[in-house]
Amino acid sequence: MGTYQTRRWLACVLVLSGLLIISAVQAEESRIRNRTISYVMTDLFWSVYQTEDAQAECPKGFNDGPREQFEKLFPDHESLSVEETQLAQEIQTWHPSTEPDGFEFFEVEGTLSWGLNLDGEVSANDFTHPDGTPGIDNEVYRAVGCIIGFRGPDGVEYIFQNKAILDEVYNRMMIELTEVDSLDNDDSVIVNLYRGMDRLLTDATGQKVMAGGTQRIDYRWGESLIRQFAGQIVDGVLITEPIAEMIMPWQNLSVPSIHVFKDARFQLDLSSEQATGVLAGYADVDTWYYQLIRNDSTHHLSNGQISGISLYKALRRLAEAYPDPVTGENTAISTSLDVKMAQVYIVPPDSRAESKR
Amino acid sequence: MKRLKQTLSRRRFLRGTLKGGAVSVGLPLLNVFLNDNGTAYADGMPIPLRFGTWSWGLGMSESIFVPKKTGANFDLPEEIAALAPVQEHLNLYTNFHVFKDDAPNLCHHSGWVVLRSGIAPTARDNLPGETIDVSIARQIGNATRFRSLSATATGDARDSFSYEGGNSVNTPEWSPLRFYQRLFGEGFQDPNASTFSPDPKVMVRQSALSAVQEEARKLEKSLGAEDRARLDQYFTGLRDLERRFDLQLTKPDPREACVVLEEPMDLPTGLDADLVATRHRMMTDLMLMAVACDQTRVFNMFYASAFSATTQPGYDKPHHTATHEEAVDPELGYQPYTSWYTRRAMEEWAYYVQALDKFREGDGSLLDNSFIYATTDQSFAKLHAIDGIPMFSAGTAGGLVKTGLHIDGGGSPGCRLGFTAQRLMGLEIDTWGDKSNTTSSEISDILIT
Repeated sequence: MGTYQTRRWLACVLVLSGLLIISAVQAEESRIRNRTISYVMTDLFWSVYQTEDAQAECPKGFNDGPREQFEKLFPDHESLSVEETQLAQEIQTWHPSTEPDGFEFFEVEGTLSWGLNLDGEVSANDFTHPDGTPGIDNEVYRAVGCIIGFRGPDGVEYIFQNKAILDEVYNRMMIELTEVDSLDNDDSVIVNLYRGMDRLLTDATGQKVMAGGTQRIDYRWGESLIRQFAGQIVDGVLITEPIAEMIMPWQNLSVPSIHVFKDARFQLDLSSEQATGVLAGYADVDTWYYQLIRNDSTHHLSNGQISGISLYKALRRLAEAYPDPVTGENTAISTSLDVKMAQVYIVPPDSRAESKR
Repeated sequence: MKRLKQTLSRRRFLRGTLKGGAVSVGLPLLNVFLNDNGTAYADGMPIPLRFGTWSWGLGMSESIFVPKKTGANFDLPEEIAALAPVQEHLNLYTNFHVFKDDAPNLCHHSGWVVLRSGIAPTARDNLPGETIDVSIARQIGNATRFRSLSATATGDARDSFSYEGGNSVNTPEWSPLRFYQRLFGEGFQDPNASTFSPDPKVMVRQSALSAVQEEARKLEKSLGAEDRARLDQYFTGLRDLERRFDLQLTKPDPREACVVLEEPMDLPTGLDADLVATRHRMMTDLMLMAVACDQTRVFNMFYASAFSATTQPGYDKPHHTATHEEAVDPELGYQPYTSWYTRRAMEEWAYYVQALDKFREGDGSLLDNSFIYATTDQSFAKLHAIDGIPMFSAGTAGGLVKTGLHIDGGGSPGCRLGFTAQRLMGLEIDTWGDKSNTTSSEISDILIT
């Protein structure tokens, strides 16, 4: 009798386990509809490799910001005019140059960095990925890695950038994968890049984005942001071909702006509910810089000890791609951004008329 | 209706006579004007229940603010050590959340608005609903000269966490001298004075209102239902005004703790922490004397704003700037200069509670007959966090509330304290708040059943 009951109990467990497995598989498959699955961006920030005490990457410490530089430049500022002090610094911020400013700029000196090998080469100036992959190109990290405003978890840029993705819609970017046969391995998928129009689906705190929300595509103001490119899925990782030029809407402190990336590509770990990884490419230096100072007044730059004046010189110094045909100076700098996305259902293009806001 | 339209104009006044002279009162905008689209004292007098709010800015340093122990006799970490003299009179609420749902996290705005109105604002200029003090004032504020009073220690008339609606913020008193003159200047009737002289101007105003009542009743009969309701609402307001005139024409009941203060010196503008503390204490003393004199039963005191710009000697960053620019000290585990500001706020909160306790009423104190609701705008201001936002209450609300407790909210809505406060003040509400901030759960741990 006991044996019979044990067998019955085991049978029930096996059936239930099987049902649970089938349910899980169905849940995953159900998010792929018509061979399509989409993800909406929930987090996007410059990849900054950090050690606990920062000694490995920033052995000289962190860079001074506007307040610290001001004190050093104008110890007797009370005897000077506003034109000679504050306004002079503002002018330099808005009309930056590559001439030295007299301050030593602390670049990242460590060897490790997040990011991708963008140029296919391994050179002495490249970083090594923490997983051992050599040839990582991420010169933006070299420039901003020793500025506290760009470091998590409480740097001002770090906080406001991801907060703005939750709070705003202007920067609602998403990818749509079509012709998907499997999220594990698929040698050819098509990726569409769109801007969405809707708020994110979150839990009650408003902080955690949930999978399964819906988004409409912004075909009007977002039309110039639409891109289509090829990709493949290898062992659950989406790897896309470079996009010649990608425009990324960027909003911080309620100021809409953009970044321009050349040869941009995604490398994302996929699941049926989320996609996480990096977006890497070459950022246009001037666009990068003016995004920063348009979004952040000197007040906010001061919050993160970010001297726009010094940072611009570093960005130009470290830029390594897309030389200006006239001056020969490089106009773009390698970069990587940490990306998190949540699965989302995009309203079919048939609803295009409705999304002409 | 058509004929009525012909006989009523927007400029129609209700007319009556007063001592042979004509008096008139204007009308509200009616549909008919539009087109077709359109415990006790010794003598047995009950001691009134009061409700107050107190506000401080920019939250806390959790590691040195939140006690390790819950319940009674909780420990006082260093950031709230100043509360030791008043610990027995207050409750501290931690691990209560403000939920924003699908609204943005509006820095230094969402937190206080939710705790005061129950609703997450959708934009920085959005002030949804009405604040808790306004709702409570409708319940308990009708028998006093002022339905409610607000004052700020910042010297800035824009600093208020009290509003009737989005376009109707209750402007606080910001100058001690102006506040004194409003409270104890023209129109003040000393409840303990041996003589009483009704103010002739108030008499005229009161009579003017009475004189038009008869014509108002005639007009009411000729209006549609919607206009009758609108007119009724309008006259309810006028009747409330009339009732207040009545109050001013009636000798007030004596109040044992009421002493008319000396006119204060005014203070210079500025936000130096010492100056703010001085202003806070002057405004507190005036406010609480007004309460003791039964000039109001609902009162809001504002120590520092959500974007607090209080400064400290020898440090170049005001409070709000410090919260963002000062690094967390890796050894201490908190921001020392930022914490200095919060400690000063807690010193002032202690002063406020002590001040309430000093007024004797019957067998107890003014504090015993009050419930004070104290809130801030953030939990960890550096990150604009609103989860785990701290709150306090003080007073026993006439013996209905236990004090000296540290309550862990377990992640439940912070609106529970506001809901509890409204129920204590007699509001017959079953729920309060919107979306995930909605609650029908009082904080029963503090209630004496």
